[in-house]
Amino acid sequence: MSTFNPIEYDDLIYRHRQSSDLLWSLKNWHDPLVDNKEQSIKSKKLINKTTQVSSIITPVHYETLPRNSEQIKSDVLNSLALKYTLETLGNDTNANEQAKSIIQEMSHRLNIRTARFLAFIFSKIFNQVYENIYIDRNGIDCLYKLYCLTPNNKLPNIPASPITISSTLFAILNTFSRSSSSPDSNLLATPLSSPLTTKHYITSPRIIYLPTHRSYMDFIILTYLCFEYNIPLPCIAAAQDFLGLGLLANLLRHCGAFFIRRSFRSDLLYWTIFDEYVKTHLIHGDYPLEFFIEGARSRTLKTLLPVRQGMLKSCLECYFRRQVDNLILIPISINYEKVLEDNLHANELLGIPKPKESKSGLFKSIQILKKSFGTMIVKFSDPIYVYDAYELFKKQQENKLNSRCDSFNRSIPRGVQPRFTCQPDGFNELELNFVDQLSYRIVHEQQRLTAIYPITVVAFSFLSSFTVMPRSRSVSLEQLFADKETLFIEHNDIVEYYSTNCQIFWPSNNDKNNLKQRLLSLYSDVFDISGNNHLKLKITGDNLVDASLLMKLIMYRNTCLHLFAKPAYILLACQVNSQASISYQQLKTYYHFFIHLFAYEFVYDQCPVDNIDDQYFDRYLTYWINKNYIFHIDESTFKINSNFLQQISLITSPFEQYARAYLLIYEQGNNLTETSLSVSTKVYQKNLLTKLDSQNIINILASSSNVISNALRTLNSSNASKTLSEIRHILTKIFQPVSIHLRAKL
Amino acid sequence: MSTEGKGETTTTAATTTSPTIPLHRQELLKWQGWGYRDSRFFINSNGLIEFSGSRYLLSGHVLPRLKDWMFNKLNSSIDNYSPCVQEPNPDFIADPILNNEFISDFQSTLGTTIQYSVDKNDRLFHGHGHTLEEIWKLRHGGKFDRLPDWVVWPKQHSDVEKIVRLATKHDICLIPFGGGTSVTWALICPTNEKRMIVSVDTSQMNKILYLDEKNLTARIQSGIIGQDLERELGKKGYCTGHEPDSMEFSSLGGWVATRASGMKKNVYGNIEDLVVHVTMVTAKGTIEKSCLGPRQSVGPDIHHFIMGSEGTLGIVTEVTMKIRPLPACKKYGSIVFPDFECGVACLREIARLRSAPASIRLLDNEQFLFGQALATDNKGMLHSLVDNIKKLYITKIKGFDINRMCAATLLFEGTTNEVNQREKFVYDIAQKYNGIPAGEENGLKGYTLTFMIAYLRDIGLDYRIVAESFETSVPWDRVIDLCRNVKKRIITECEKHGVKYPPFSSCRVTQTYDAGACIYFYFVMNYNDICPGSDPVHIYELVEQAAREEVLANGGSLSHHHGIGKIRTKWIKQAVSDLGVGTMVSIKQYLDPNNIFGSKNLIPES
Repeated sequence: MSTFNPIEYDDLIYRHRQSSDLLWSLKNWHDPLVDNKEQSIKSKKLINKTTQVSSIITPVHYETLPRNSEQIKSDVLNSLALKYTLETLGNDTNANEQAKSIIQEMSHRLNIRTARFLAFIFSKIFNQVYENIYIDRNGIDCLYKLYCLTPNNKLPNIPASPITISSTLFAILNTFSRSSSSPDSNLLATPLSSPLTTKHYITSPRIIYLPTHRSYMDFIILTYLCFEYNIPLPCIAAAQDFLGLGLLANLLRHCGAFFIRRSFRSDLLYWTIFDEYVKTHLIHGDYPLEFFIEGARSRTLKTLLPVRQGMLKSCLECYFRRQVDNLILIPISINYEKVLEDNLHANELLGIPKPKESKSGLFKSIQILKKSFGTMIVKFSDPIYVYDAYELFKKQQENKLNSRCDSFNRSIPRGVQPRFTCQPDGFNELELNFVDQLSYRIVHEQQRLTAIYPITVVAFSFLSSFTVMPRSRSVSLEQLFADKETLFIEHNDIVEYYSTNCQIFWPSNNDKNNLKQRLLSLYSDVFDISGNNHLKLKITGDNLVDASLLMKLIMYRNTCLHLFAKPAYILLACQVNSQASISYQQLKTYYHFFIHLFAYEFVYDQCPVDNIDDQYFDRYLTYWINKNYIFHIDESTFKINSNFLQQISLITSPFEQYARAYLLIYEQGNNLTETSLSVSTKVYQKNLLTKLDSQNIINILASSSNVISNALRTLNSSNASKTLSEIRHILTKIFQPVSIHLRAKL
Repeated sequence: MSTEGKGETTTTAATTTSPTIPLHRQELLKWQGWGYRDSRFFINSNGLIEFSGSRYLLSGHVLPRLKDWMFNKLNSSIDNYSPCVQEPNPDFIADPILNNEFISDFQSTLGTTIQYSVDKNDRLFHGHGHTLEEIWKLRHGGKFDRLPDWVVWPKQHSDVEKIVRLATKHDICLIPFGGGTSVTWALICPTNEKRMIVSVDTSQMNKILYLDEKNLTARIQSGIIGQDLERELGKKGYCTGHEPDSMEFSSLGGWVATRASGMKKNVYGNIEDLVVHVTMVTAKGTIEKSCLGPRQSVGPDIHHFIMGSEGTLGIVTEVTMKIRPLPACKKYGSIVFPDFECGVACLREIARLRSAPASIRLLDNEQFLFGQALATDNKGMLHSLVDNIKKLYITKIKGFDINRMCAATLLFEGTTNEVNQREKFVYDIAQKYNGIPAGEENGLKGYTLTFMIAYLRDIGLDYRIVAESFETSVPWDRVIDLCRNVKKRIITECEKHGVKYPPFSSCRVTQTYDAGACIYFYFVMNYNDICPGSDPVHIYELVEQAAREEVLANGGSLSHHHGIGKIRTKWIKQAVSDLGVGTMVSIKQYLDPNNIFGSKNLIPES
């Protein structure tokens, strides 16, 4: 883990404060994929003719790229896949109309003029709200390389584009005519001929951006970036609930957002249109795609399971059918020091309903913009090339799959499947496994890029060691620094697997005053300072308000828990028997038990399956032994070192709290009769909220809708193959004695 | 050392021919490269590339732009000269494994009628085909792990029967040899073959036994090579119309054994359409049909496991083939298209209307530009002026982009009337796809290029450039994706394996079918400055493998006409399913239980 170093980043805010937002938003923007050669009248005719007749082989001709949204729509409507589906559905005019309205509702209307407008608005907002927006320069360079542009290796802090009135006028003119030329003096990247790829238009890169999703801002930031850096603006898959935003939804639409329903697996017509709509973007490569693989904003600020596999599958199918030669996936981690809607998130978790997306809500939220939200860090992971990933995966699977070969249960080879139809079951087992593995890899890459802010350390310090938090809980700044060392510096090795790209955002030279000011100004609703430099919480006395305050702390702590999860399970298991020793085998059993228990809570690099034998177990164990946190009693039994109890409990406390919260939930009795998860979650939450105690962290955790639903999903998941009573039994066995022990100690 | 059978040349054929290929191939043909000894590209005293000899259209001509193309496009240089050895290194050739019982039996019963040889060079030249790896080995002295121990030259069907009978009796491994133009390692001897290997060279079985003008068929011995066959039939006013690119050297038996395809298949058909009757000698005896009926429903067609058996089941000795009267009119043509997509769409439309000329080929932009580099310089000022005006017309007025343009070459055959009609029809279609007719001469040049390509590889090798071609067939809707993806894959793989200079990666559509097309890829790579210690041939193979994987993933076939040989056996299960391979194995088991025809082609070793 390294300390955040602004030198490696471009600071957009700094840049923009140096120049006019208006001129910036009107700057010359040019799509690098399009030949900027002037086309003669004659050749324009040629294009029209070509598109008309060559549709036998390729539906769209390269000269017409990038298409505008109307063309994309009509391409989808005229696609063979849709035609085929309509025929399957009986070919009635009704379905035809339906298809038209679906595509109308779904389609984006990306155009550069609105993008400029929004760029202007948001540069105003961002300059207001954020202190810094740091953009990973390596990531941008990498993108430039993909687009065969020269990376702009500029020194930081130099305003990128010296914008003059004349260049702006020129740009305005250009806005209205598609053919743009005369590259802006030094901002516009010039095409770079890569050493071997002599003609980059053999294929333009098919890029899919996969950002984390923590805030509404995520929708804007990437488009904003692409505009800033003159790379093609992405088309963003958004959920249909946003349509409630009215005007803003339309603005988003004009910036490339397209809206899809939440679930439509059974609706063949919708599925076909969606599938075709996604694919047409990739196949023609005129726009990159962007979607959130977690499927929803993570209210808990934790990484969610990669559930957006339908979208990923549609994308990958283009590759499996070789309609594209490769796909480039770029996981992106967007880290907020303070999430715009953290209050809303905390309330929502405690069952206070999410306000419906509406204009009035939007209006209210404008006052948010008066506050400061600190820093935003956008980091790009190294691109995942699907070709390489799949070849590697196939090689790994070769050995495993050889044994079973059922010639009566064939899957239709890709080479024989028709390419034009939309086949939900076209994937064979190998490909499905690959999609699964890949989606976990994507969230894992995102996790590796996490940036840790001081608030996370503060949350850790406040919430550690206590199941019940006294009202007067305060933490000294010295304690913060010590905890930071313990958590993020000392255990660098153990979290290294996750954290090679993790960075901690911390004031230079451990400047205490700086840190104090920062915390107080950003989180003025949470902290207060008491004498002798102790931070304390702003407790109001209102049960629900205090709970939501703590919930916020829990959320910010969540941002880094994936780093510790697996190693901490070992400590947790040892700690259970702090008096007695524990055998290797038992330790391992507990370790795997926790992995399964938290399969939905903490996302690992792969989905836990039955009979897992986690490869890292021994590594983690050896590490803790070397650290002296655990010592050998004899060959195969271990005991925890009580000298380090404080550090250990700092690390394990979050997981212990989660485990106990699970136990609490499981103790709620057996009203598992409800089939729908969301309904039973609500029932549980209602029950638990009645007993809400704003000082009891476990109590608050257990009242969180997210934790409840995860706990219930663990029960329902078949691969855990454990019943409620079993889990309850083990959890009780682990925690009840200790809690008695701990309480005695307190 | 060299003991040579003294077979008397007594048999007089029904039609006396003057076969092109002599008993000892090396007397006429290059031993270390492609084609005739007297025909090759070389850098002349003016420092320009010239083609020697007098056999071809280009022979004796200087190609002024070729050297620049080679040196600019491939970053090769005159200093990186890597000539091949003058003579094969006799030390590389291991002593033969001899089965004395077989030899004495052979000498006593057949020695007087069938010629044979144990000469080192004869053995060497019967132990390879023409893939890059094989030529590379030859150029470095000819170090092969295993070579045939004997070469025999049967003259007729009964000779082959006798040889196979003896081989079965003494457990000898037989490998049939036709024209030696295999590009699938089919002629390479299995390294682990411990028995004596006898290469059965059919080149002396080269007679047309009879013509049946009533039925328009001919009975032909399998060793005849394409050019002899067409020439002899031509004298009588007929032709088979089967013209694979290797027709100068490849043999009828080889065509049958590999399911060959000819350039003019649109008029005459591929080998499976041309063959009426086949006789094959297997380890258990001769297999053939007893009827010349044009189409038969008598169970699975036995011709279809003979065709494509690649020498694993037996030796094809005689074939009855369809013949056609020579066409009255033969006309070349060419079309330029603004881009490859247009070209493919046009070809697809022509195929859809089933109005393809005898041959139609679409070169991609890379090959189109390469074709420009092959221009000869014996033209006057006026000619180049006309050329320039044409170029201006196409690029400036028609708006074609020189870096996207591509061209199709056409060959029409038939009566004058037919040809004219067809020509107009094709050009009309082309016009819809923005194609512009570009003259007969360019078409002719395009087809001449076909025969030059293999010679070009030899001069490339002289300057540290390796090259190879491979082919596939694919449904129409995947043609463009496949071409683009495979070309891209070649470039990416080269990058991955540390190749410093951009490779030449190019393709052309060479055949059109109702449901798809045949695509031919060329891959040329300059191996200068690759990472020290790495073997260019190995890198080359890895790239080719990746390209083949890409072809398969794109829905292309494992091979359109080259065959499987030993170079592609690892994919055959994937291509025809486990059960398919099992069926092939059981046919082999029945016909050849002792693996007399032990070339190990086609079926992967488990």
